[in-house]
Amino acid sequence: MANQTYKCLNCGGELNWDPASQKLKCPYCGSEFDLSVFEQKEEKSQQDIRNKTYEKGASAAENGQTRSTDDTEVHPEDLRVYKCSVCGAEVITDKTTVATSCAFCGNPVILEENLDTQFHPDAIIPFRISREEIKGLYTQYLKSRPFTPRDFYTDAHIQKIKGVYVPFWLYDMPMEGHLHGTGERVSSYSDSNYIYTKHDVFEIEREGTLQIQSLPVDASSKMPDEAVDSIEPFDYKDFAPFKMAYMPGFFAERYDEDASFCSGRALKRAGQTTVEMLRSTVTGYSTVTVTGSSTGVQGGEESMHSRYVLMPVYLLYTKYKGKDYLFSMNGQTGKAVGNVPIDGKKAALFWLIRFPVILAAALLINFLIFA
Amino acid sequence: MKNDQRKRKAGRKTGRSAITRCLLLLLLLAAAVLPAFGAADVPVFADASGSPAYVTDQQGLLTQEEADQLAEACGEFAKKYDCNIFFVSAGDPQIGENHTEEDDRTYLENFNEQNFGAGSDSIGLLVDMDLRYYYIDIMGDQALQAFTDQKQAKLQEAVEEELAQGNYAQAPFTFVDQADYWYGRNPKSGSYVMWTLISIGVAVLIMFFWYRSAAAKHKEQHVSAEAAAYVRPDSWQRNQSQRRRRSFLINTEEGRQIWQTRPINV
Ligand SMILES: [Zn+2]
Ligand SMILES: [Zn+2]
Repeated sequence: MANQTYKCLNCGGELNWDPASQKLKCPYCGSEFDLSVFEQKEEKSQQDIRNKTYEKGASAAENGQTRSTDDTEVHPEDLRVYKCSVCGAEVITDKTTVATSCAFCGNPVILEENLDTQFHPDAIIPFRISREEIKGLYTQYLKSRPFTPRDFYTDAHIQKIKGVYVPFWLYDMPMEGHLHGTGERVSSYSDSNYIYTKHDVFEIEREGTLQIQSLPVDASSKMPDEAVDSIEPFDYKDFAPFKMAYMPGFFAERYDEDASFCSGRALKRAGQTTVEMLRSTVTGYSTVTVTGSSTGVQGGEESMHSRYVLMPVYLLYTKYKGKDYLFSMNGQTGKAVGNVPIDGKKAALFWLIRFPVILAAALLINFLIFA
Repeated sequence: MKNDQRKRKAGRKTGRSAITRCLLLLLLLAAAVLPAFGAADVPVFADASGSPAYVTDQQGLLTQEEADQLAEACGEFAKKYDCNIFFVSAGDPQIGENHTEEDDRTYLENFNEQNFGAGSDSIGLLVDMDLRYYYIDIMGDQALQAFTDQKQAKLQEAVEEELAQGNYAQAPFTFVDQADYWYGRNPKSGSYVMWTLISIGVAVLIMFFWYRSAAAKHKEQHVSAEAAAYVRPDSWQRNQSQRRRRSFLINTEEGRQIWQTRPINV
């Protein structure tokens, strides 16, 4: 079986997942189809995966290829070659790509190989923000950054925004923590001759437990942590069982950092919160010194549980004056966070326009007070 | 490729030098403003410091102590602004029986010229208890320039209010206070130059923080360090204990520490 595609029942065109209607939509005739229409096909492809009868990618290196066709930047030895089921062209992509598009005909390409058993996601949050909405959200985002260089606004640039299903581990972890420190209470009283200041020093001990639930850590080495952390939180009520029909029209990655590899970041975040919660219970002292704290998972790290999920993220890489800037947006909630460079000319203009006005106002107020 | 890189460098330079240029402009401006006001700032002291002519209380409105205090305040004013200030109380015995308000004015103007010299900067207050009249005379280019009509009106208002309430002894003090206040708010005074510089500084600070808050939005991505949003509601349980380790007293007298760390048995 070649890579999966979903064909329009009316015109035979390749269907794309449409975030606005939460259905599969034909870009040619506009027909929309509920996922249930393709229930059988979904079942068939799950079977393909179980029976491993999917198309396997050939090593690109062996085929003499050194560059991917979908902009993924990886070592040539990690590239795999697939055949586009629509136009037959060779699609060269890396071994962690689950969904991409054919560079030649633009049709969606889903690679079942990378959804095989261990890489099969437990759940998925489908895209909710559509490509039409994203243009408005992106320009709105840029406008509130006053020194954005012009290059960032061009339509051609905005077209490069990619919708990616990013692999995440969601950790459930029962945390325990211990904090000790000293606190001091000061009270004061006086008689006719002296002022007495009484210092009471206390030994403080705090212990606490809490449950961390579905803490997300991105599982792809390609994703910069700050870009995906910054667009949290995702709303987990939209989790649906994984279906391949959510893929067409988007890119998708499989994890290349496993649950035990990513647990370090989860432990760090959960530990920090545990300490903060313990610290917040230490009240009623005039000064507090924390002398030590420790946190960990109750019953050891075996009692940490993780789920493998895909969550929707829009990404836009921009190269500007030799540096990379990444814009990321939560594909479910629309929360946008980015790093945008400062255009020197715009910054200078900001000063040139505003400073004389502020200065004039300040000098005028000063003059009016004196005159 | 090489050319491309050079262009990039040049581009970055223009951005930075544009800000530098703005700062230079600001410095030039400050340099231009300073000497214009600074020139008037060379102090020339009035020679009549402590001269009895500052307070001439012929109607006994002030006690001796008050008169001395007032004279001292007048002396300070004269030193500060190079402008004399004085108070006269006079009535029938000094100006003549059946004198008029016009006579009062002439009397004060003559008093001013005789005691401080025609053409010097001086400002005087006359209170005439017989006519229930007061008059303020201002003489000299610098003093007249400092006391615009608005400021004279303010000064009169303040003195009049004291007199209307019967605070005859307080009136000359208020007169000196207010004259000091308004003379100090004079575009040629040293404090004006200082406040001009402070205004420029405030403008720069406002711009700096404005720019910084606008620029901060350009770098927003941060790695999350905590997980407070993922704590299951009601899952937080804790034990706590506190044990008193030691207590001690510090004993002070009028801010002076007498002894410290006298332990208290706990
Ligand atoms: Zn169709
Ligand atoms: Zn194709």
